[in-house]
Amino acid sequence: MDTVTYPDEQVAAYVGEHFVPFSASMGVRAHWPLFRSHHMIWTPSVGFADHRAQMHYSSPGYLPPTEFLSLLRIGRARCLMAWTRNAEAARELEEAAAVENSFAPEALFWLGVAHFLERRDSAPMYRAWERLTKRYPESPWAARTYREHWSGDMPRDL
Amino acid sequence: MGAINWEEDHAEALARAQRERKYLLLYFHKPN
Repeated sequence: MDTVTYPDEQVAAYVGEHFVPFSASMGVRAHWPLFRSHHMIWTPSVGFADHRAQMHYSSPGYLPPTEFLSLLRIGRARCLMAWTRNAEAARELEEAAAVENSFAPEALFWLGVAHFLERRDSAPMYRAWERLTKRYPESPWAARTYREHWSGDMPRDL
Repeated sequence: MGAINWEEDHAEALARAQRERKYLLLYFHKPN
């Protein structure tokens, strides 16, 4: 992460614009309680938290810059959704879904959720999930929509 | 650590997040 992903120009610019970046090292004794309080059992990992230190999303392992940018958008969106800023979250998730990589299915799943939470209207959620199940039918994120449960109830304008 | 200016004080990171109305990106790692 330190040699490839974090030095990437786009990653650094996005982090600088949207986050306060905090580095917690197992080499710093004062940071050890943070690993426990954030349920971190693996390094490297990243977490996304608000100013009350409530973590809303986390992800383990290494990622290349393109995937990591998508992860940053999803993580920020999850924080925004926790603070009912669902329209902003939906914009972030559309950006993540527009990039064809391994995080696009997850972005589409959460996009559906953000649309629902914004207006408590299931039609736009189903539209996002329809995109997900058509583009990535074998994805675990498509399985989470349990299509058989809702496809019979889909609004006619989908 | 590249061009990212990492905070190393958690309390200061939280205060900055509140001031700047941003969320925290937490990087958990071991020393190289």
